[in-house]
Amino acid sequence: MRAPTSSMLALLAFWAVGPLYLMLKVSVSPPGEVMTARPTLLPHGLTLEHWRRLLEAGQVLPPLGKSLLTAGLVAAAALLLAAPAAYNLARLPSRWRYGILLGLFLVRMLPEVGIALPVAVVFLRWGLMDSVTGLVLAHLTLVLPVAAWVLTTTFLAIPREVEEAAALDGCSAWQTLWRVTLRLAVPGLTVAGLLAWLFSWEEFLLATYLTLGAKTMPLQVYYYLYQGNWFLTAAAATLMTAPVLLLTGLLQRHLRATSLAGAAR
Amino acid sequence: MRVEWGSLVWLLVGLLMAPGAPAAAGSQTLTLTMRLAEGEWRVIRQEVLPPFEQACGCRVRAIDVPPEALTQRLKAMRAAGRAEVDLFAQDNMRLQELVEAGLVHPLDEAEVRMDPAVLPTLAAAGVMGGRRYFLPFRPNVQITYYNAKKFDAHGLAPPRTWEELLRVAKVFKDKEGVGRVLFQAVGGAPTTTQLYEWIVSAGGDPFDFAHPGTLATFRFLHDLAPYLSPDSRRAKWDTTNDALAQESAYLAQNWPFGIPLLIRDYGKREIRTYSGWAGPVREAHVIGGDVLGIPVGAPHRDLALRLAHHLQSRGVQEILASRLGWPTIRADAAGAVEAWLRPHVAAVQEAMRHGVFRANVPYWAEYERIASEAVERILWRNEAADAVLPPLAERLAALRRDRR
Amino acid sequence: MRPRDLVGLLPLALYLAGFTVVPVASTLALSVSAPGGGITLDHFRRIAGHYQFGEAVVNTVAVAGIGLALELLLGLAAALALIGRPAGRKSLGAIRTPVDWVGTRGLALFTVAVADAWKVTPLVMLILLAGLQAIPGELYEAARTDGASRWRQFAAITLPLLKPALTMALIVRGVDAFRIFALPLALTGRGLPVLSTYAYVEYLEYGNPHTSAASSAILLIMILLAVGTYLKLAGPEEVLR
Repeated sequence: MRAPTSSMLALLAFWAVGPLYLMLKVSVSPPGEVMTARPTLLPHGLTLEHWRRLLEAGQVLPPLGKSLLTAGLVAAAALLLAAPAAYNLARLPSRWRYGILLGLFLVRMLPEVGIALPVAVVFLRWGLMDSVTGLVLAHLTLVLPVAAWVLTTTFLAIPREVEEAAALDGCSAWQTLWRVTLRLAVPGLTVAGLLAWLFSWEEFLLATYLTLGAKTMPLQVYYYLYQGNWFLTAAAATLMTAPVLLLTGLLQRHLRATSLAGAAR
Repeated sequence: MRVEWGSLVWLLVGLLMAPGAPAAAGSQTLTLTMRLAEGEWRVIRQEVLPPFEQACGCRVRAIDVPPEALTQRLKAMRAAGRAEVDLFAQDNMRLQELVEAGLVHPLDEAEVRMDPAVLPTLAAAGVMGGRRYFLPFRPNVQITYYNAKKFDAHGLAPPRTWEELLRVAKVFKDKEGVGRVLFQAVGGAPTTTQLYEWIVSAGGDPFDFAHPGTLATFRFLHDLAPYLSPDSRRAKWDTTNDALAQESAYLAQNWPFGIPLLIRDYGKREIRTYSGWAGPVREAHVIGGDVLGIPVGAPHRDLALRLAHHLQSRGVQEILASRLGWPTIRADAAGAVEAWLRPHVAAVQEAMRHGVFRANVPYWAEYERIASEAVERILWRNEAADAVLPPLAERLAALRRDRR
Repeated sequence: MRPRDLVGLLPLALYLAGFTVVPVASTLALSVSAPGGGITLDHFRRIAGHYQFGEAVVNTVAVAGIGLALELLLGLAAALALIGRPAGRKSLGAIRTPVDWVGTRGLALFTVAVADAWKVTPLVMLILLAGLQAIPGELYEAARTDGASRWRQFAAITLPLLKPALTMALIVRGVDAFRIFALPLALTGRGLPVLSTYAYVEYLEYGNPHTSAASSAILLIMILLAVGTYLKLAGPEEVLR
């Protein structure tokens, strides 16, 4: 079983990393190497010129900061709102549970063009143009259904007996929640938070409506894409991908189950 | 875990207290939106706006807004009852939707005080349905790009007529096995713009699909289709640059914004430009570019008008001409451009001499849809122009009757 | 069910009801309201008669189907391969990958589905990984002592116990797969209309909110039908425990 697993991993890694490699490679290639009928796969020349141009223009770091702040707040708020809801949902009879979950999903079943404008207008009316607050509130409308579903499944997977056992051991209801249930839910909370973060990180249409001067990172990358300069686009896209890699790397250990087996005894 | 939950609470508190829009900040800040490349923004921000800010004692917040997003954002702002834009520059191919949605403030000729040095044809273009909504700022025109190396390699010259165009397309396809001439056939605005000038150059009426000149254009496109670059189907203004840069196409019409990108940034000196080819009747190129407008409910209407006058002034137009190679709206503004840019500026000026304005019809959106359908079916589904066009001509005729 | 069991649900439900009921309702209302006032099915009739609409419906189903199958297979494979070895979790990038577009429709469908799968497989993998980790290890130990093969373990333990996570992945992703939007537009221009791009073009290019809303409503109905069919086939009680 060892060999097939590792070759599968290698294949997956190639599938995953290939396009990222191309993006990074373009961002440090001299134009002549890419802009031909047969661009090379391996780098020959190496230049930091595109990166210098990107950073010197000073148009890319403020969007990076705004997007980081927005996505972080969206993830935090999504967990805060969705976790209690999911905890309740997991304890409901299943007919109710999926009825409510599907109801929450209704907003995600329409194409974004139809939904983004009316959602955005609410927050514009409150004077939230260009603000992080408005963007966070708008993103939450689309993030919460997903977070609620992921967390409901997470809490469902935690056997009732574990909580009952903790109660028998003399834990109060809150202690059980904090020390046992939430600890067991860490992988699920991490996944939900990550999904929320990623959604906000790359969201485009709501950001279009809710920003004028203070762009988010996807809007800024789109600016380079629209200008047509491949090298600036690749450099900006690399800059946009880096936090994703960093965050997933940092959160990796939380994605693993904490000794659930032991706790279930 | 406890620590993380605590910080989440603080984050949420921070979120709720985060500042809202800077609506109250300084009553004398004008907001101007345009869509420009980074190099162009530098000239606007460093050389064009500061003299105005000094003269009016105000600040100008200059913001990049893409043309397709401007309408959306103005709509959203109006729905929310919060206008934040004072003056915008918008692509003149997208004005109809602004006016139809009632997003732009009409101007009266007395307050506009059009400078006599502004070319009359350009000055007239801001009037729609008898009312003036827009002021000229930056005229523009499509030119033709070609890869001189590839043309030389096959002993070809850039085509000057439709016959030559067809021959060139056939030679490339025969010699290389794949079409190298690009037609922007993605549908919508790019396709309709290109189609428009082809129909006019065949003596046709773009709004009448039963007109012999229009029929001739579509028949020619049908004959040309097998020899076109396969990239044509997703070619619009930005992807055309990619096709030229990556040499998947050797001949393509596009706006001049590709010149600094292809030749200066990518270093592709083999790419040259010229005005383009003539159709059976004449040479014609649609005049595009940006015009200035003031949104309904703009917070500083008078100042916005002053800024518009500044942008139209001789001094500013000369800066734009010499530093960026833009064509100007004035008869009295000329600038000395950098040497590498000169042949391309000449190509733009030559194309401008054959310039035609696109008629502003109230059913433009529907027209785009019908024209796109015709192109899609005749070029890509290989349907005969004579079979496709009659029912579409009927629909167009009905539109003309209904919306007059 | 006691009231205090619903206290946690309340803020979320209020938030979503407050901010999303109105948009959803207004979209549905737009799709049936006549410009002069009153109710009409004209917008549906109009788009049904449009030459690209039928194609858009078929393409939507095809892209969503191919994409979902790929994502679930790859995501499951990745999650299984990674469980116990936390290495190489990958991002998704909102970038244009240089995919060569080829002129035939089948290939275009496949290209878009593969590009979508590239983008979201990591998400599916994350969801399934969380599900896999909830399966107690002793079950496998017991199965091994009984001499069950790897495949038998997969079929008898992993798959049934993974059902809630699979359902969630399928629905969370499936709903988005039906709404696929940016990729077909970026990769094929209008060569591959799907319902979302159709709604987009109707609204932003042709300025017709009614026909756009009508195609949105049709997409909504298709998604509800697909979800309903799945739950019916898979048996809701089993799927969602």
